[in-house]
Amino acid sequence: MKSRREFLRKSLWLTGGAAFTSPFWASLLGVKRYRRGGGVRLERRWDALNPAPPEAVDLAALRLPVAGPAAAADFAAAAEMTRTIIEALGGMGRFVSPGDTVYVKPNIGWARRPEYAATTNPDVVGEIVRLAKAAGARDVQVGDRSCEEPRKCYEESRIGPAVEAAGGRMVFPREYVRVRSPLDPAREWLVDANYLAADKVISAAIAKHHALTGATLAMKNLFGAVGGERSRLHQRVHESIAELALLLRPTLCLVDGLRALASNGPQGGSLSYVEHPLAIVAGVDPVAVDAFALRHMFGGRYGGSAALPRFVARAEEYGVGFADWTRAKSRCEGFGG
Amino acid sequence: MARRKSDGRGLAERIDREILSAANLRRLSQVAALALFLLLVVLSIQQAGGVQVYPGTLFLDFDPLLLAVTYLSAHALEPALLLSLAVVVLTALFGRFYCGWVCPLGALQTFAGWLGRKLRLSSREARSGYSRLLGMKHFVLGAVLASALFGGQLVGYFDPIALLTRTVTTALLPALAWATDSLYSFLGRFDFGQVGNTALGVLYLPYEGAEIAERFHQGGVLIGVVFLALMLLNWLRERFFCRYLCPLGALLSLFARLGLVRMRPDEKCTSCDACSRNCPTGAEPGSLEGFRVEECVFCYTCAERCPEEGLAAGLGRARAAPAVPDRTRRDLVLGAAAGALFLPLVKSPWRPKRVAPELIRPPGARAEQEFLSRCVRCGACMRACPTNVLQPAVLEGGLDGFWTPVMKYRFGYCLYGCTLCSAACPTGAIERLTVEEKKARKIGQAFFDQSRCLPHAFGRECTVCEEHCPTAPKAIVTRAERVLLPEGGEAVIHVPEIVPERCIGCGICENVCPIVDAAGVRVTSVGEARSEENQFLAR
Repeated sequence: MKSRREFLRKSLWLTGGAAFTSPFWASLLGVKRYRRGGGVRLERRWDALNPAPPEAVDLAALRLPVAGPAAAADFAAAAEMTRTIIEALGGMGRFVSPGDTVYVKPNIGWARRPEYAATTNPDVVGEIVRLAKAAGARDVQVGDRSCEEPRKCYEESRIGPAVEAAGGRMVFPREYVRVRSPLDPAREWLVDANYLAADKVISAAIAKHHALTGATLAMKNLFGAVGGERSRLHQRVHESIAELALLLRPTLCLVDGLRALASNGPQGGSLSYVEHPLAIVAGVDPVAVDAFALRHMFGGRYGGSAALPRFVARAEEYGVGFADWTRAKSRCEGFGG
Repeated sequence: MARRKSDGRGLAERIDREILSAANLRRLSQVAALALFLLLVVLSIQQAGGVQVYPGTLFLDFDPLLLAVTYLSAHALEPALLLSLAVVVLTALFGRFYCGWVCPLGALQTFAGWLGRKLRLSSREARSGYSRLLGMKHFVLGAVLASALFGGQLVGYFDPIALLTRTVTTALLPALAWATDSLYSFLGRFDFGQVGNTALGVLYLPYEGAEIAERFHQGGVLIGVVFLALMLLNWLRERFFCRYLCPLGALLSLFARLGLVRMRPDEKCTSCDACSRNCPTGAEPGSLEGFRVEECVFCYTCAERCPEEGLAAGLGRARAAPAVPDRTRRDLVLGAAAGALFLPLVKSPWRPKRVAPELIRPPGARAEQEFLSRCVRCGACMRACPTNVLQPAVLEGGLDGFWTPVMKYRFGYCLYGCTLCSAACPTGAIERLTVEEKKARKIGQAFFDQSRCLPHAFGRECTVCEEHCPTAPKAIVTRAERVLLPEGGEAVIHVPEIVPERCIGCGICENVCPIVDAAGVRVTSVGEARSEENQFLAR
């Protein structure tokens, strides 16, 4: 370098040249503009079930045979119940193959302690993580797009510590991918990149009251995998729930009804709003799982011939599944009739 | 530049004298103090069970000026601030070592000065000596103390610790977040392979864990520009802020006069005056008579610059009359007069007749007048806030409320079970609250704007506000109602209503409203628990 001027001139040329030719170099490096997210293959999630033993069922539910004050029930049974139910479905090996990346989507919407029933029971989530790990999953991620400050939600719900103890990884949604709606080509969804990148997805909701939709369960739980201005979804909320279930269909759905939030949902905030159905249901058909939870975890509000919330009918209409869970092979213990 | 003679000295001796020199130890101490300060500011957001995990306001607690102004303005001694008496006692014994060795803003000034010299934009020796203007900081101190006595609060704009806490929170960390996010969203367009992507993700984790991302503060750019200007002024004069403006330095200088220690030349002195010419604070250590111990921060630059190594700290109080008249008292009194005038000047022409609806203070904030007299604008609450709702006020609270914390629900909302801001406040402007007290503390009231709210205005389903309302039972309730649709026909929809007694003004409804520009439900300050006048419900 002879002079300052020469140095400056050369630097300018080099910078300009690099900037101008960067698309070329980038193409050599194999740039993926994955933010645009064209052609995401979502089907694999429900086509990819592994062969199950012949006695396996497609919907399993279990209720603790506890008489007496429900609040005294020992929730230590949560993990064991989860294990039993997954076992009935044919074991985690039916859903998770060795080397898979698994994304578990519990409800971590609120910064509330587990006893307020605003978030999924941490022991249930922890056990799912443990089972997925045992089935050979390479990486088990757990995340949600929380409604309140995410770190506080992860911590206060105790799901964060439970997942880390079970060998999973808490992740915060950061990147979203544009995905076209399966129903209306003019509509796009922003979907959590972690959710899309995972090989298998498990929706682990908690049974809660919701003023607008009646209840929030495994299908509504998928709102937590959506980015953008989510608050607009309420204007066509039943259709949005059903459409997301169609678009994002999880490999396995579970509704934790050990505790259920009976009113003032979905936040709760007082123990007086919490009921104790002491039940868990899981299955491969989100509509069946939700319908079962509506019948059995809301103290008879959706019992008998009572009309189910509209999102159930919408989901059937969109071909997500069937509300009548008896159409599938099922094993339900502790529910009387 | 005078360089040391390098005669045939042993290695050990050289290490001892040149590497472990007092000036280098001072630099080490400055770097450590600055690092600790930044770490504590960044970590002050970490909480467990409603209290801060780390003492995020440690440096503020050790600031005797804050103790003094809180005592003068609120007539109260904050227990945590009593720690700062240690600094006063040590300064009275050993001089202003705090300014030279501990103060994080001092460290940044030293660094800015060094940078200016490296870039050859400034020189240490230019105009380094004593100047009448050194007394300006006493004027500032007088103004700060007098304004506090009369219920105003100027200290936050000048106190170095409050200034730096605010700057780091509202300007530097958001700038860092913006830069990091830009970098990562650029890098996110490339695929670095399994290993590369994982490595990038891992590098992002501490940044994400430190909760710096996605924070924004209104007017942070002004706070940043003020800081930048203060840094650049170091190229005009070494340690510009410390010399001319710092009220904390001025306060400590009053005690430093009692000090037992001073820099003094020994018998090797050739009166070359290199020490005085290089002194960053105008203390002029070269002259036995003219040395101003109250300006000296024991930075040991003089000792480093002395060609004879003939300067060291030693015991000695012998302080002859200074070469120029001591104007400290005059400056203090003049400043006090200005400070006493400050409050009426900014208050009378700007005081609204009624309470400002948008002036929503954090839960636990004291009644407005006492809040203003206690708040030192340090922004510690803004850093501690996990949702970014706390913003430095511009004119929401009048001229005298500039940069005080105010809730802005388009930035965030008040998290129901969180008490971090009240835990972070160093002066008790925000009272300590327990979580249960916090959940019941009303800071404002939500109102529906029926011309904008979707169910009210258009007959559309929405009620996102009701979903998010955290109180038990909910302050926002819904009724199934038959409404006429603007496009004709009718529908049964959920219409949200507010039960005013249940609303605590947390603002999550306003924050999550799908009408993102001016929400269909908005919170104003009326009904806030801290005010007797700003009420609307019959009792």
